[in-house]
Amino acid sequence: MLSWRWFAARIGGAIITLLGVTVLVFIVLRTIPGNAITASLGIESGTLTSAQKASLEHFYGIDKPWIVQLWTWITGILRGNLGISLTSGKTVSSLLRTALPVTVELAVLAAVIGTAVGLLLGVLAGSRPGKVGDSATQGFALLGLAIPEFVLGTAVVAILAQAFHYFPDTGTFVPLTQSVSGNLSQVFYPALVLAVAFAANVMRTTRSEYVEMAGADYVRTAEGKGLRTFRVRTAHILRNAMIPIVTLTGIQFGYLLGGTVIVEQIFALPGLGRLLFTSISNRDYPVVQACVLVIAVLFVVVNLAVDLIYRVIDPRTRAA
Amino acid sequence: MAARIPSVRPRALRLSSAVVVAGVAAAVALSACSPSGSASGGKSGSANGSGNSTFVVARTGDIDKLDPQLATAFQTEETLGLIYSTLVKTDANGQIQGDLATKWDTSTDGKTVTFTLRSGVTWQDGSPFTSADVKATLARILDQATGAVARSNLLAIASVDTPSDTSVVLHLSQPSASLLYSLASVNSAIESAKDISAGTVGKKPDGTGPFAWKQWDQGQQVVLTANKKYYGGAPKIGTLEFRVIPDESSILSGMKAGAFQLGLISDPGVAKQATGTGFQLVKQPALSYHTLMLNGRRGPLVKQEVRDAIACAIDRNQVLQTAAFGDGTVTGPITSPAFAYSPTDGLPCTPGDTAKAKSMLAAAGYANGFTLKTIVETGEYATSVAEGQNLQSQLSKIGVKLQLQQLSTSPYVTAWLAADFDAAVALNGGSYDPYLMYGRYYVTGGSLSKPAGLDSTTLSNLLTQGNSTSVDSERQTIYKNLQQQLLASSPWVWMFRSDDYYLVASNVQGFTPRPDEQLTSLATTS
Repeated sequence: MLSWRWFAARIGGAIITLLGVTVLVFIVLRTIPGNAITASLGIESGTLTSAQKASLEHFYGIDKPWIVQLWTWITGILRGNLGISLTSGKTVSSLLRTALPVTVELAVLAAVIGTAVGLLLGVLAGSRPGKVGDSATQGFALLGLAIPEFVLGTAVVAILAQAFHYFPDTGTFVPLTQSVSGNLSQVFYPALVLAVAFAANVMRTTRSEYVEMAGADYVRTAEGKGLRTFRVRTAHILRNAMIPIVTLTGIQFGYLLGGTVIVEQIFALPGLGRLLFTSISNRDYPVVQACVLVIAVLFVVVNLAVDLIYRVIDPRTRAA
Repeated sequence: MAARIPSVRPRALRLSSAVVVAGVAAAVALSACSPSGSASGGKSGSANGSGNSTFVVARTGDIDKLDPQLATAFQTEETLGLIYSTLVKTDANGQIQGDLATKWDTSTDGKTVTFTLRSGVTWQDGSPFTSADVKATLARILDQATGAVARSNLLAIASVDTPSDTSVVLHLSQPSASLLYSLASVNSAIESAKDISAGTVGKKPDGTGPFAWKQWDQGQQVVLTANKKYYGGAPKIGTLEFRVIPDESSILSGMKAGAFQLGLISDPGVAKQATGTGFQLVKQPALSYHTLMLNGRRGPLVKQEVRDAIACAIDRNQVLQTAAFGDGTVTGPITSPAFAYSPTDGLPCTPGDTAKAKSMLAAAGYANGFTLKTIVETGEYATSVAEGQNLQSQLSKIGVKLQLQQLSTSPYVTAWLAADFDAAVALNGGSYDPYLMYGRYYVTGGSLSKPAGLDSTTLSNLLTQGNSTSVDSERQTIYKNLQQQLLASSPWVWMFRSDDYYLVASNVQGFTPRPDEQLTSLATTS
């Protein structure tokens, strides 16, 4: 059973992690040369008088000491106020409300495609190790891991345009709740690009686990008892192989969030990755801080979920 | 040891085949049937001159402000330049033409300019445009609290009179030949006096230009609609969408797929691949120029002989060929087509003459060379790093070592403004008027005199003289002299003007790119 003590310890660890990330990002951002004024006005900022400069610094809230800014930021988070974007003047929460669902959908779709394809190919390869199918799928996995997302994404866009005269929709983002086909026309291909490396990782782990488990004594016993092949494979081999696969999926999901920065640029999706990228260029401190915090929260939540699932599917870990 | 389970393979194969088939089917279905996809013929249909068509422009960046007087980003100026009008405007050759003003007269002493305004012009809410709008706009620009970009160029305006609704008189503290060019800039766009007093400027654009503001999905697209009451005639394009496609390769793919009518790119590497049917690549030399700025207030660069040696050692054409695949033109300091002078007249040598450059360095006491901290901006334009590397290679032949520091825009700008560099690889904005290009760098006390890296009374006087006379032949002589002096004193090494690239769909008619990168011809494009 899941103990409360274990759960409280994990939550406490998560809070410390998030606080650390918050402070670190806050400091790093302000150590980089430049600020919202130079980012916004470029070389024209050199034409500002000192009074204009002071007025703009006050407007952007960057005239206060760091420690005051940090305190304002942290207390703001606790009150649910993530601040105002220095560039657009909109609330950071409203920007996140628009961007976060795009990225989460992209990552979830990529994870679903990647897991399904990876599991299937892993079982296919693991069931006949050393054969042509095994080599082919392993080759695919190697290729999937070796090709960077920016190359794959650019190639997919170029091939679709050249061969099918098609370009994924770049208009205003269509939420899934509004139109499934409209939404998928924007999200499907970028999710596919993200799913390739994900599938390759899942496939490799599934294959090696499958090969190892398939040779175990309990599998031979199960077969000896006359269980149906399908049951042996799913309830015995796959179930035991799932433990490292679940762990890997959780870790990979975190990396997917990083991958979205590139993919959202290539496919012009207005997600969290692109918001983060643009905000760093604009030195839009409140937005960058909030984006990083949200990504950190997602990482922590996914890891927590993985730990929970891990304890459910592997009773041995509950004793720990 | 691995156990074999014979029956798995065919089943798994069948299953995986089914998944692959389903995936391909889904992909093809999305490609072919998506109602909101951008396949050719979808909602982003081509312009057809009907007045109801949608015209999609793809570009890498979004607008960042809605106030033309504060706009500095190209995308913002391009967009707001279609919504707002100016008193006067420039044609594609840089000649001044009327816009909201139909006529202007300058007094013989050059200190009074009287504009006659166009009548019958209305703002988007239907209220009439009058001289009160011009007066309120100029007052707002000149108010230091606004932080208007054009303020420093319009400081000669001492007062503004409005004798009638269709007449505006500007009283200048001194003659200013660049005044009309300053007024033709998007940064001097005329705003409604009502919006200014209500404090709504910058919230929702309200102009008298060919297009009206409709929608902004930040980071995604800006949508404009035709202003049917536009005094120049309603645009043939019904709806104009500016899509943000951060990756230039994706813009090219979108053009190949017929998803956009116009694609704006700047990377010569992407332009090289721009071949295909359904669109054409149009190249337009820009007014902006690529230069190696030298800080003449630091180290060995204090000596003019050293700066001359560097200017002599650099083969401009080699930088152009290497960094921009030859897409551009070797240039001198002045890039306006109205003041076309030799790009090398005034240099003490032939560019690329390393033997002479070496002897000049030796004569200056630097036979063994030296190292220069050189800042290079990354991310803002595609050729910067390649330019820096080529310059590094060329100057190594005379013993000058460029220590390249690659910086993203904000740190670069910070270092640039503080003149915290020995040399800076730069892409500087140009203008049709030489004073507007160099006044703020080289006129004594100019706002950018620090990064200019050199104080020169000669340059300052020439610029002031050029701006004080409105006689064209005199300006030509003065600015020719200015260009020669700039090349002779080698504060910077001027290299080339690069081409801007426009991917234009084959069915688009009437689009004309301009050296100043404005998209004003979209008002008459179909």
